[in-house]
Amino acid sequence: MSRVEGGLEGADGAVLTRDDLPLAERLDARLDQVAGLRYQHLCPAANLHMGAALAALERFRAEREARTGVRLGLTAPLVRAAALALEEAPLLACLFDGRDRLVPAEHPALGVSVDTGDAARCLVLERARGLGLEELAVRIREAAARFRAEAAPAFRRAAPGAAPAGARRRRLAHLLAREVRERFAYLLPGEVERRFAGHAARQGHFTVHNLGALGVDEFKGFLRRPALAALWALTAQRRVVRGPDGRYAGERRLPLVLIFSQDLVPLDQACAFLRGIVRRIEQPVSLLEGAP
Amino acid sequence: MSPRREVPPGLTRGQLDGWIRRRTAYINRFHVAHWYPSCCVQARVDLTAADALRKRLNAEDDQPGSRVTINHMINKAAANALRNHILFNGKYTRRDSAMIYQRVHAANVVDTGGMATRIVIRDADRLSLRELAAETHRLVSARRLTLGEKLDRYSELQEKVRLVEAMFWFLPYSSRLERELSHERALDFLVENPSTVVITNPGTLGVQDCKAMLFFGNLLTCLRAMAIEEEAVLEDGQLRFRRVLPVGLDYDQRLCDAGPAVRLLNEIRRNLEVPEPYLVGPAVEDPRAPLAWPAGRGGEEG
Amino acid sequence: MDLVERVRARAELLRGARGRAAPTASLQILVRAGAWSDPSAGERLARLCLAAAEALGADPLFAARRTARLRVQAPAEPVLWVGPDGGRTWLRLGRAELGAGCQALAARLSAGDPRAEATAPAGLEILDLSTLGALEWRGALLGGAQGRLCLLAARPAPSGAQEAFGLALDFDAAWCEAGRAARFLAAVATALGAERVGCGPRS
Repeated sequence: MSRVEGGLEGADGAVLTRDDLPLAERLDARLDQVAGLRYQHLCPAANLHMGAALAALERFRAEREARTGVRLGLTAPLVRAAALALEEAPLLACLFDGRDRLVPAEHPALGVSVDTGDAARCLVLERARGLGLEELAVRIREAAARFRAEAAPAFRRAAPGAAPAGARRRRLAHLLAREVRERFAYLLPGEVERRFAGHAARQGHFTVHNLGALGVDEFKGFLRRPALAALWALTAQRRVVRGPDGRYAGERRLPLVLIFSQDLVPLDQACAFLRGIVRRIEQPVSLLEGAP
Repeated sequence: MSPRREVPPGLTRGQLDGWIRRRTAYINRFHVAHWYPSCCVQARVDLTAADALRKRLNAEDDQPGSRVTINHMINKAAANALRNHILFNGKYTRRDSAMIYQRVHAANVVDTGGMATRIVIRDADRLSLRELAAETHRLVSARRLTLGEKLDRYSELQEKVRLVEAMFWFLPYSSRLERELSHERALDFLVENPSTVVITNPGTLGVQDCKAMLFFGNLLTCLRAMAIEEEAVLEDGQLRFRRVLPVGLDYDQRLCDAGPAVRLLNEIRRNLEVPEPYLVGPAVEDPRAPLAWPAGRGGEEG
Repeated sequence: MDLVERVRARAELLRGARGRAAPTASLQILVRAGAWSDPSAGERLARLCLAAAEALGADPLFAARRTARLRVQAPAEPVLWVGPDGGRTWLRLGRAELGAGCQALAARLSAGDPRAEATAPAGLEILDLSTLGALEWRGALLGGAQGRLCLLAARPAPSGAQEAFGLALDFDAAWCEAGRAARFLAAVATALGAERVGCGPRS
């Protein structure tokens, strides 16, 4: 191997290794973590966009917050809408077992992705269908605070000390072992199934991501098996519409993106699911259906 | 349909066969082993301030060789933002390894009507906007002149490589592994190696939205500028229109999550919306940026 | 055909072609509503089919099919594989169907077969997502297909301007450059007689 992998190259051509730079260390840790992500984990992902008007939800939220004293935010209604819509489209909460079977979930667990400033972490809500709006809001807020407190500190920019002796050799051995291990691991029977097995506990059967706070107008992404679908909410957009009286008014709309595995989920199912979520956000009283 | 954009005649069936034969030389780039789980975040940039700046600069100096266009401003905004988000300025070196570079060399895709090619602007973050514009004009005209010859040579080379490929099975396993995993060897001979980020502009073709996997050689990040749109806004109850530019950022989701990617995109948007301090001169480095190049390491900063 | 059967049929179809999804890229343009979109949803789709067939005459690559890693074959005449109403049903349109005129085509489109989904032949796929409210789309091309054209829902425009429909094209990035795909989309819009939104020069 002629080059140090996962390194950084300075303007003078000098290669800095992870032993003396936190940036390289961070990059390397990430690469180690994902080295096992081979094409077995990738699926032909399709992205479907729809928009939901937010006016009704905002009124509903204000009323309910005044009554219960719990701040609802946007994520909790979104997760609730997804939990209810999954009942109508149970296919989207199935997991792919790595061979050729879809495993349905009797009580789907929902994952809620939280941005911690550096990486995203996932809160898993077991039996999400049985959780009310306020409980969802409280649990999501607590988890976000906890994840952010636990997140690794933003890495240091100060130049650290000299690398320990032999670090470079150990590093190369580690990389070679990683390449060989990940290359041959999938030849073992049942390896894919083993790697897929813990997915529901880590990410839930269906994951909801809310990028609203970050300022994203559009998003297209990929999906990692064994999940069959994931929902992304983006930053609400203000659109100008002409009212019946001929005057212009601003209207807030929430862009929603459903990413689904195009080979296993028929398109009309995906459309029906996403429309179910849009309907619930535009008629928020339906979020209380069957609430505890 | 705007009369300014005429559709050139397509290919007849006979020409199609020729296209397919020529295109075959490129297929290795798209082998499934080179696919990355790329995601794209997109933001809409208000162009009011950038338009005003461009008009002022071009009024001061209207030489065709140094006219500033929105394209140049996008390149400059991206290069300047990368200075504070250096994690996105790099290449894959193997299937699961990447190298991050301190210097920002921005590649710009040029559509030639057939095969796309690109030019590389070295140290784009250190140039001023005017210098970057002049350099881009110079490189694009030079590339158009030499492209045809290069393409023919490339196709011929690929014919030979295909014959030789069969013999790779006689090489020792480690060499085959090396070749198969190395993007620098397997991908795109046409690309000049120094580029560290690629900026494409499908907007010039009237495209409102463009999404793809990352196939830009071995680079980690790709920025896309789409067609400029007119957006309605309400100001004091009055309907106004403003020009907005949708800008998309493709990144490898294995390397970072949406958060850091969106922060880079927001800095690009800031550079274009507040151009005077952030766009005209060399990059403004933010000492508090967590993903910037470490202080006191490497090159002239050392 | 119930859902379990449909999913099983798709899985069967794809088992032989696992990992064969094409490296797909997508482009989208906006076209103003107008005479072409005023009639019913079925007739709108029929007009789009005719326009796509005309554009395919000039560039047959998007109706082709990859038959091996280094081989792509285009059909001798424009062939469409159309999925009205979000692909709930599918049907194949060849020269005979396309020559029958817009009205006859619209009537035919309403009689697609849900079972046909698992047997996609060569041809340009056309998906109608406008009736389902989808504003954007990016899909993956499966089974060697080289192009998929999607009609997206109309987005309202303020100031009394006409609303605009999205037209998305999924194409195989290995065989086609973005520039070529953009020109194909432009040709479809021209054949449709629709005015495009925001395609002035950059500066």
